[in-house]
Amino acid sequence: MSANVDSATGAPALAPPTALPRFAAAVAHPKVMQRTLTLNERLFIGPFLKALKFTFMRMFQKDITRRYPEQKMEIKPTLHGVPVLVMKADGSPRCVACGLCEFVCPPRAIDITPGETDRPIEREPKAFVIDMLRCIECSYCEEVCPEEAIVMSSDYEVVGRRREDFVWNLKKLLKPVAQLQSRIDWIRKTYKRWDAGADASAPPEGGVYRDPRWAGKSKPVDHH
Amino acid sequence: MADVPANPSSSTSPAPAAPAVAAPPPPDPLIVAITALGAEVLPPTQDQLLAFRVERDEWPTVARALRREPQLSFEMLIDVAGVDFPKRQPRFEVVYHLWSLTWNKVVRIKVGVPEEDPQVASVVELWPTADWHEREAFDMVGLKFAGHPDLRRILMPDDYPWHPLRKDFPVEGIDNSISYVRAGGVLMTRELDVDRPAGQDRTPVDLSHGDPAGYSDGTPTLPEEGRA
Amino acid sequence: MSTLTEKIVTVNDLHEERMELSMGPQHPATHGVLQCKLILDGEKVVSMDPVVGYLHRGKEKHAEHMTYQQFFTLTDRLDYLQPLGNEVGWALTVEKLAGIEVPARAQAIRTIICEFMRLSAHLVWAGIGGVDTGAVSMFMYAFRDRESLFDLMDELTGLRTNQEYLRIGGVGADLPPELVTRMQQWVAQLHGHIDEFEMLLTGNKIFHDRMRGVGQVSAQQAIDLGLTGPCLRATGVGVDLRRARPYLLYPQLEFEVPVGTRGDAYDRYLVRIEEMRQSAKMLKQLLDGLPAGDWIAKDFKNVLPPKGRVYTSMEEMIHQFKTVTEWCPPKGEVYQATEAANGELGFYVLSAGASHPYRVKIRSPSFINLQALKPMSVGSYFSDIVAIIASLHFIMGECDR
Repeated sequence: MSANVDSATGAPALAPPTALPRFAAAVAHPKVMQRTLTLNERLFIGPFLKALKFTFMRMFQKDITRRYPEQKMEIKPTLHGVPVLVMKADGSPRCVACGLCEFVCPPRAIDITPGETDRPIEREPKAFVIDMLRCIECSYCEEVCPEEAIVMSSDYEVVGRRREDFVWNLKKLLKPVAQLQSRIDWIRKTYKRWDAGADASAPPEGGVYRDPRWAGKSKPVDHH
Repeated sequence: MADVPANPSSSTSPAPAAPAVAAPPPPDPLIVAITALGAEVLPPTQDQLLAFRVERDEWPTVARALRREPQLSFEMLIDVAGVDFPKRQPRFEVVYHLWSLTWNKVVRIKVGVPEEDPQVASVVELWPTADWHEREAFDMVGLKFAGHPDLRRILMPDDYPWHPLRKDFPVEGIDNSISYVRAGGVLMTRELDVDRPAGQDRTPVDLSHGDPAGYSDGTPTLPEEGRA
Repeated sequence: MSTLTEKIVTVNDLHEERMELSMGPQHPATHGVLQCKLILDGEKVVSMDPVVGYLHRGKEKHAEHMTYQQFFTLTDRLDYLQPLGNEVGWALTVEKLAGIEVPARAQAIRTIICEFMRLSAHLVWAGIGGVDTGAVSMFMYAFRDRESLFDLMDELTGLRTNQEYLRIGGVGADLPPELVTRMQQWVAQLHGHIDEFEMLLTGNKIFHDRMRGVGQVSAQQAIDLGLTGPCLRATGVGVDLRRARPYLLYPQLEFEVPVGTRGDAYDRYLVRIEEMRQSAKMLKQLLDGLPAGDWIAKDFKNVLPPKGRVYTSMEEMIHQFKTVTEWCPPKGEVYQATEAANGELGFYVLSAGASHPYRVKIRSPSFINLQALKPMSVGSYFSDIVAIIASLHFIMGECDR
């Protein structure tokens, strides 16, 4: 851009910066200085052999890559796989179809059709669909769930032949607790936040909180 | 309708119970210098930046002073944002953020732009970086910058007929699959760049920006009232 | 005779035919979907018109229809080489808007991930910059470190990239002590690895010849063009937002802001290499002196309550639902900038007091730095464009938004 030329390298030289603004020039900053190449570097063969040796020596060091399909990643409880639904012992979902995960989902991958039920939880999802092509595995659904009903699984390999294979319904989403236990233990620890003393880190069974004063008096309300 | 008030802080943060202070602190010399140019001081917002409102006609002189006057010397234009307030007069606002590397101060300058004549003076001469900033504001909000050397769309396709960051543009978009542009009532085919002779600039396509009739073409659905 | 003197045919006239060339948007050296419309005179660039917008996803429009917490997922995808750095920028903006105090430990974790992300971006830059200028093996060594860095991020956040780790008021999970040890080990071995990069690149004649004197700008030109970040500092202007407009724990850290002397592509390389060393220095201080305490603000109105209480207390259940669905910052406006890997990443947010922002303007450093491509390239040779693009290092995801 400038017309004058650096005699050493043949590269155009830069005029020293014009008066720097006061604040920018106030502090002396360390300068990264360019240097002209040494004769050895200009001849190129020395550094070339050095780099070749460096690369050659790598052959005798430990592998840092993984042979993926055969050699799987080590699964840690922090891993965000695809979100799945927690199945209770009787095979029903923990989910009470409150719709909070549906609301919070940034890519709108979750679609819930709520329905009433006679069981004590009163509401359950009639249909629960997650589009795994939309899902970004951000774990917001898991974080907001007031029932610990949707958690991130360790399943990170979602494959299919058609687009429909990625739209998971209730049947495909429900997983027994045993499969998700390590993740559930981890989020219970995390979601205590500052409240380390709180012991009620697992949601009460049945999904409904009953005040102990009302023990024996209350009965699930029949809405039908 | 949750519209932004002209002075946000006065409506949100209650005025602090002012103790009986004998002498108010001396005013910031920057504020004095900028108000002397005819700018109106805006109340501070959460980020405590110096904020000013400048009349559109005075903006070229104020901008020149902000850049060139040694006691101001705002060397760097950080950002230009076009904002649309459909319920306000004037409808548009250009928000400039300027940074003085001399004083290490950031100021926010707001210039109101009416809908009927969405024009504001370009500051490309003072801050060459304003080139793309202003092209973006033109592209997204439809503001025209008088004196800009090359005002054309930058992020959207050249023949895109709408300004997406206006509030009456729906977030789901408007179907624009046909490659025709309605300009001045005449349908034009999309100009292919390969047909353009070498060295010749692109033919400017008047998209009648700011013309409400331009919106009726694709029958956009207006967002419902109250959506912020 | 006069007709002969009227037109003297020179060698230049014979070569006057100019070639129009479209470089990109599918060109491997344009770092994503950038198209450069070039007019060449032989090998010389006569005019250049960078065409951006191929990756425009309308993030600013989407932001007006998303909650403040949901927008974190889009900021991740701005500069996808430093996703958490973008999240920190947005988190600081929203917290300033709502006046939320963030605990010291959360701030320290944020500073740590900011510096890790700067390293991540600079490592990719070193690798890709090497490939662009002929040093292909450099790519492997840079990505070795970047992958192990992302393994650390994976363990911290659960995702390798696009982590979605930041929350309004803090971070998504605590930094466990065993991970701190592994991060310290990673940082300790980084200095040796940077020496390896320098051995492969700094004295490499091909790299040196392709970068030196290419794409020079003076300090005044750089300020006029709005350059920020390493590209500005390479011209000798020691402006770094971590010093100039400090945020997070940067005022308490000891680090230096390296500046260049000539403002060419080689200086931008040297500044970035030195910045990597400074980042490692900062990370050492941060990881050694990580404060104890909460990793998210104890603020029931703005932050999700502890899960255990949500199950048992109606108050907290209401807070949980209200915070997710109806969290609204007060009316007002905030411009908050952070020093991202490429320069000043600013978020200007205008709040109408609703649960969605009224207007979000992203001041993306890549977009502004890309403007300098035209003045840097015109008059240089065609092959220099690749070196200039490599040294500017814009990310099209951030540029086009």
